Amino acid sequence: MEVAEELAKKQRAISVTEFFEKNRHLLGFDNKQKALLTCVKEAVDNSLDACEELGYMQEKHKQQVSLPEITIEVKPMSDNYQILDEKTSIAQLFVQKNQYSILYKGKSETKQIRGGRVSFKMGDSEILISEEKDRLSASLNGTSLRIKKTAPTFKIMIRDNGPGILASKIPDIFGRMLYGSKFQSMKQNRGQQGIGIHSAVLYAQLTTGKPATVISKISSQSKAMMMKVQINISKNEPEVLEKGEADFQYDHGTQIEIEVEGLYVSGNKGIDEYIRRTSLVNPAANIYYTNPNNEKFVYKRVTDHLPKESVAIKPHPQGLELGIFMRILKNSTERTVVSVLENELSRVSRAVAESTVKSVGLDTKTKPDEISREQAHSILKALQSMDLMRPQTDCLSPIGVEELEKRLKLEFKSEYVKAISRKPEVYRGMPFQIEAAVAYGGNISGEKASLLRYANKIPLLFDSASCAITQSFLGVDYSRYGIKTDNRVPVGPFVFIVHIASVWVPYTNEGKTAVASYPVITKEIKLALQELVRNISQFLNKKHRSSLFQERINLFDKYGVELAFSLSKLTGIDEKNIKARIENMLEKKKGEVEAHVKETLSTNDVVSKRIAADSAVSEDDGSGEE
Amino acid sequence: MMAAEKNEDMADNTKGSKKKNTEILDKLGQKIYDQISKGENPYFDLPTRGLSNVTYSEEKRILMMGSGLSRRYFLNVGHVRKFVQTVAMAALSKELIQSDKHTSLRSAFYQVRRTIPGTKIDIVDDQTETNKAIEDLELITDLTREQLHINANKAGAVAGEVVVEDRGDVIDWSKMGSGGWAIPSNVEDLIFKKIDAKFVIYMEKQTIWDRLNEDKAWKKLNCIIIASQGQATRGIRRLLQRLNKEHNLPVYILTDGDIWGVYIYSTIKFGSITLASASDKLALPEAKFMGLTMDDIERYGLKRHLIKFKDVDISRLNQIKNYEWFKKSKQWMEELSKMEKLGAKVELDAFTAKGLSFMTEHYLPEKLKEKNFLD
Repeated sequence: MEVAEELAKKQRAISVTEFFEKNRHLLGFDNKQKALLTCVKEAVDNSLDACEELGYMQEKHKQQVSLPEITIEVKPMSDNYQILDEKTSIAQLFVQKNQYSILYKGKSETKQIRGGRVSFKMGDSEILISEEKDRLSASLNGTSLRIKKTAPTFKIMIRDNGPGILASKIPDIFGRMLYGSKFQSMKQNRGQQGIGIHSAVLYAQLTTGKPATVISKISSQSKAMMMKVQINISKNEPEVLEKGEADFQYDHGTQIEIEVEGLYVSGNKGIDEYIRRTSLVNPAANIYYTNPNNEKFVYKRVTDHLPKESVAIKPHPQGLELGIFMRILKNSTERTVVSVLENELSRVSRAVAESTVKSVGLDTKTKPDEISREQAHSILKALQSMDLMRPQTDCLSPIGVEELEKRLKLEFKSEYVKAISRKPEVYRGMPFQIEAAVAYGGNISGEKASLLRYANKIPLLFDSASCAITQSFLGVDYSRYGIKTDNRVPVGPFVFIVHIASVWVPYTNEGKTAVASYPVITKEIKLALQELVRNISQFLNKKHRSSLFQERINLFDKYGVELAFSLSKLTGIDEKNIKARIENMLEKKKGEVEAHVKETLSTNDVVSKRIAADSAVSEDDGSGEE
Repeated sequence: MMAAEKNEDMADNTKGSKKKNTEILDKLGQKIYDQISKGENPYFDLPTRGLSNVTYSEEKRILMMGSGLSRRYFLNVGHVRKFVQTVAMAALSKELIQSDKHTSLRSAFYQVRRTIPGTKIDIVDDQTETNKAIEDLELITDLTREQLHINANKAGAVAGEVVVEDRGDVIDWSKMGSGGWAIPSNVEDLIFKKIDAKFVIYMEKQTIWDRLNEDKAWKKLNCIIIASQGQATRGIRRLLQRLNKEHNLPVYILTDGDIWGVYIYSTIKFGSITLASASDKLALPEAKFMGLTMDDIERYGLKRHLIKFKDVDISRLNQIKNYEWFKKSKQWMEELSKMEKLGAKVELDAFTAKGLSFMTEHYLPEKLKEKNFLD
């Protein structure tokens, strides 16, 4: 028996709650701030994947493609308190305006507060809450208790116009905790990132005791189904608390609503920014978002075409790990090792398969289940030393250069936008592709460039320093392109975007927040950035030149005013007379002057620097006499 | 070239020359005006400044400005600012001459400093710009800045048995106390009433002058002592020249034993590279170098006061070694190679280690007696 399987058995023995608690950090629930973000993220990722999948199906069936429409709402619900006896929490209190709810020994009750007091009779206990000058106090059967403010509650709602979910599948999808079950899927999708929507449902249940409300509709002919789902914690099984019909605004799609405890923050690590960044790399989606402050954001699609569909590929021998190879051998229905190699791996021909098997001293007729671990190891090594074709790259689904540029232009109203896409490359047998973009000016604020990192279209907000993208970004020599830096970061209104698409993004950590630094990946990112920087630097030079050109042309008008003044003093001739003659002369010499100024701009930097110093407002000319 | 005829007599500051100088400035203005009127790109020519346009005249033993000319255009991105500054300076100078007032280099800067209306451009940003504009104007008009009514600051000090008259005031150089008489920028109008001295010692350092003055060295040695602070000003150089040419007094130069001292000597004797045009009025080919020489270091046991050369010292030494006027002198080439070998310098002040009055009592008398000078 495989070790993993043994472990899996043990894992099943512990409760899902325990599992959740122990793996909070892996699941993205380390703290209340991140937890709120993770809940939104899981639901949004699911929705986008589902919408795209529907679109691809529609394309295949030559139906009209429905493009993604995603609505996200995060609403503050209540202020929350813990009621403690000494140091033990005995109850939870939720306050929403005048509405007071209490959760005590697994039971909850809701009441209005009147005259600053509200009393809850829970079995034979009475909990009394009183409010005085915005301060709450609590007592249990007359004994006063401590009361402590905790994270507030938010209601999260995500709705999409995806394919919808069959009613029979809803409980399993939302109400069963699946853990550690991920088989290596050789296809690029967002779902690889998080642990799944069910963890958000569990988190909601653990923090507020409320089930998830799911509404789903699968076609215009069918009615929308509503279900309240929660997880039976001891059995790890879904429980449907309520079921019925509901209204739904699209012909098909899914809506999920959960209530969770969390902390809402604005800024670079908050939900607002996460959604904005998500919208940048999903140019075919309309995204509507309402944040807890009731601010509404609409991110409009800029293209009517979904990104290229990614297809699943078979593992390529390069980078294939022994464990996975063993599993392939074990699970295969092929009759010989040779056919396993040929049919279950990519880029292995019959001839290569045969010569590989022979080269390790095995008969070509050997059955896959006769292969020992050592033999498998030799086969894999032999295979990896072969000169195989690179893995095919249609498993990748890039954002698209044109779409990215359009989206950035719309978002930043920038003066300049450039996106590029590198050719797919391979690290350890895994195809990957780098896309990068830069936007300059417009409403981009900030003195320094910002870097937006993405992996498989998911924005990466955390652990920037340890990420290969950040490291490559800081490794570019911007000064070579005439761009000033501060602490290796370009100075100016720049936004850089780097996206790595791969069937298997290598992360530095299990939280999947940063990309690992494989040399070939870092190299590709750097090359992409260098190309962008070359482009932006050309643009900036041109811009600089044209403003310099105008500045220098104007120089003569400006100094002409002074010349008229001094010359009038020197000669006693009327200043206006001289001024008019200077203007005539300038008009007559216009062409010559323009040609001359153009020439000064084409000479090298040293000259233009000197001239700039000559003409500048306040630069002093340090040259002393000998 | 815009320059007027040579103005022979610098001391002549009569109404006639005033008129003549005004005319030169007028002509400059008129020429620019005419160019503009014809729709031409206005320009003026001036001798190129710098080593490339300086030649050494073996006959006169002075540096001469070459015939290289630079043409400065108004319609040129690199020239326009300097062009306008020069015209502004010409206008200021004409105003000064007409109102018979003089200004200082510093004040001249403030007098032309203004912002062009409707722009953020100041026509001058610092005094180096006006100083250059004045030098350019001197070259264009072939007038000295004193003739343009712009004076440098008083500088340096002089003492000796000499009586002069300066604008009606009679000054006795032997009765000027510990500070001495400060030498004005313009010494053309000085009238020498009485001179009781056999030679002049010029020194680059005020501290050494103070030392010699306290010793009354000028009385003991029957000479005039003159100091600047660093490079000799034009006023001092002109004064040295007048004492030499008009009163036949030999001039001896006393500097630190380093390459910068050598260049101070070179400037006084041959003229300066930037002011090569004025060598006739300022250079003093008769001047001799008294010390501090490399041999003095040996002879007077100053080795323990050596200060190691820095990179700038070495690179300056290499430049000076290649100046034509030094290359012509075997004696100097030897001196410079000794200096290079030593790779260090000695300051005059080191003599005080041997006794405060060592210079007055031993060093100077011995030098004079042995006529131990570099030429």
